[in-house]
Amino acid sequence: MRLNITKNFIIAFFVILAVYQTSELWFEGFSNHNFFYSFFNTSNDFDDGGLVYSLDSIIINKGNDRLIRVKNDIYKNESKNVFDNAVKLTMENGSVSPADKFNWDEIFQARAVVYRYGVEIDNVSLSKMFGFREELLKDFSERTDTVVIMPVTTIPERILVGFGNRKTNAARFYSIEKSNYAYTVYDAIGSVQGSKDIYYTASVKNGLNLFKGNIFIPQWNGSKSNYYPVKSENPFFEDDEFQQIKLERAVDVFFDNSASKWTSFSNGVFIYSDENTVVKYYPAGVLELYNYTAEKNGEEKDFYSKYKNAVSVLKKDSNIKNEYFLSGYTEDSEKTIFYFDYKINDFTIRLGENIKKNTGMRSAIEVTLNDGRVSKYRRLAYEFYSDDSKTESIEKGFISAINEVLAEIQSGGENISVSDSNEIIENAELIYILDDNEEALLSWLINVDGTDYIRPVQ
Amino acid sequence: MKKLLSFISVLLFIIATSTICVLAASGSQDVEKFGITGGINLQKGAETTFDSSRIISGTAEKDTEVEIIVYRVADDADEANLIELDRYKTTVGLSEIFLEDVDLSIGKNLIVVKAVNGEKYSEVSAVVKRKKSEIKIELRQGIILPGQR
Repeated sequence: MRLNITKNFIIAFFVILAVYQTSELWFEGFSNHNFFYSFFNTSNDFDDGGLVYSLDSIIINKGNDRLIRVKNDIYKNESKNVFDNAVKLTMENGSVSPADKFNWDEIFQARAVVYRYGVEIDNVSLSKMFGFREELLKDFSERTDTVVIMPVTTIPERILVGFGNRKTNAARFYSIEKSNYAYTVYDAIGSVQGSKDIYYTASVKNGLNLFKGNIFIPQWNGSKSNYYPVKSENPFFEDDEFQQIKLERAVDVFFDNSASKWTSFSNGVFIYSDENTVVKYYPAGVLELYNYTAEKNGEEKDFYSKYKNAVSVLKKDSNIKNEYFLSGYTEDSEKTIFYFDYKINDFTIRLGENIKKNTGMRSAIEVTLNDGRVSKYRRLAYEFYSDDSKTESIEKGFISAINEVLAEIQSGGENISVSDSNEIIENAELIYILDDNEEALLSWLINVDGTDYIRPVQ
Repeated sequence: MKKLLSFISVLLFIIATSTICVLAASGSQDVEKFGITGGINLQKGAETTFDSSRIISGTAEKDTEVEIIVYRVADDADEANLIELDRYKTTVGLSEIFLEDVDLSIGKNLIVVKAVNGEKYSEVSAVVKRKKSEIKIELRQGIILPGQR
C-alpha cells in the first residue's frame, strides 16, 4: 500500500515536471528551456560577492620594515575572512574619520593590512562586494584600488579602515572605537606567513619620489634570491600527442546535454555546439565560447552586476586549475570585457608578446558581456605548475632594472630626465612571463609613464 | 724700488698660492643631489628600534659611488671603539636613487653613508640603537590592564 502511494507521488512529480518543461518550450520568453542547467545562467550563489577574485594581493605589515605580500591562497583564507569582517564591522558600525589621504608612514608604524586591487572600482560596486551599505562611500569621488585595515590595540582599541586610490593617494577613512575585534585582526595579521626569501618595501616609506603614488617593491637579503620557474602544460596533450577525448571531456561542462552537442573540425579548429552554445578550440591552446541563449529582460548593467555575472561563469568552469584575479577591464556603451590573469608562487603570470600575438589575447582569461550578459568567454587552456625540480635566481634589484629601462629609453632618443619629471615609475614588480617554450621565468616589469618594459632578473 | 716691487710680487704669489692650497684642502664640493630619503633620521641625535635591519634609501647624481658602513659602538660611548660590522657599496645610475638593507647589531649602531663623485664628496651619519625584540613583547604585555586582553 505504502509502495503504491510512493509510486503515485513519483509519477505525479514527473507529470508536473513534464507539463512545466513543455510550457517552457511553447512559450518563448518564458525563461529558456535549459531547465536543469545552462553554463551561461548566472547564479546568485556568491558567498563572497566575488570580491576575492578582484584582489591582486594582500600586503601585510607586522610592524617592521619588511612587508609580506600574499597573492596566492587568499580565497577562503581564515585571516582574510577576519579582515573582510573587520571592514564590514567598521563600515556598518563606525564613523567617518577626518583623514583624507593615505599616510603611509603612520600606516606602517604598526600592524596593518593593505588590499591591492588589479583595477579601480567604483565605490558603490565595492560596497556591494564587501556587503555594507552603498551610501557610506557613495559621495567619495575617487575610485578605489587600495583598502587599508589597521587594528589599534592600545587602549582605547579601535579599527581604522581606509578606501582610496594609490595614484592620487586620496582616501576616505572610517573607524570603530572600543572594538575588541581589533585584537582578532591583530592576531590574524601575525598569523600570515610570507616568503622566506622575498619581502617588500613601500616606495613612499623610503621617500622615493621617482614612483607615482605608493608601490610595493620586492627586495631580498644578499646579492641574489632563488625561485622556482613555472611550467605550463596543455591538458589536452599526452606524451606530446593531442588527445581529442580529453578536449571533449573538458568542453562537456559548457553544455547542458553534452551527448547532444554537434562536433566539427575545420582549418585546425575543433567546434562543438548545440542550439545555444558554440565552443571552439584553437591550436594555439585557446578555448572560446559563445552564448546564444535568449536574452533575459532586466539584466542589470552596473559594474557589480556585470562583474558578478562574469565571475559566475568562471566559477562554473571546473577545468580552471590555477588561481586568477581581475587584472583589467574595458567598458563602452556596447560591451564590457573583464580580463583575468593567473597567479602562482605569489607572482602574476603574464602572457609574453609571442603568445599574445598567436592567441590574440591580452590576458589568460577574457569574459565579454553585452548588455550585462556574458556573450563570449575566452581562456588559455594551459595549466601552470611550479617546477620544484630546479631553481633559478634573481640577481638584479629593482634599481638596476629601472636604470636599464631609463638607459633604453634614452638610447631610443627620448630625453628622459629624472630630476625634471618626478613620479615617472608607475610600477616595479616581478612577474612570470609565459613564452613560447612553455616555461615561465621571473622578469622585472617596470612601468615608465604608462609603458611597460620587461627586463631579465639576471 | 725694484727690490721692493720684487719682494711684494713674491709675497703676493706666496699668499695667493697658499690661499689656493687652503681652499683645495678644505674641499671638496658636495655631491650633487645627495640626500637620505629613508632609513635614518639625520635630525635626531639617535633613534631606537626593535628591527634587526634598516632600509637606507637616498638620492645622488648619476655615477656617484655610495658606501654605507655600519659600525658597532661600544657601550661606554668611547668613539674610538668602533667595530666595523658591514660595508655596502653601490653605484648610482640614471634613476639617481640608491637603497640598501643594512643589518643592525643589538646595541648602538653608527651608520655612515659616504658619497663620492669625482672630486665631490658628501658624508652623513646617524646612530640607531637596536633593542632586543623580547623587550617589545614585555612592553606590549605591560600596557594591557588586568581584566583586559
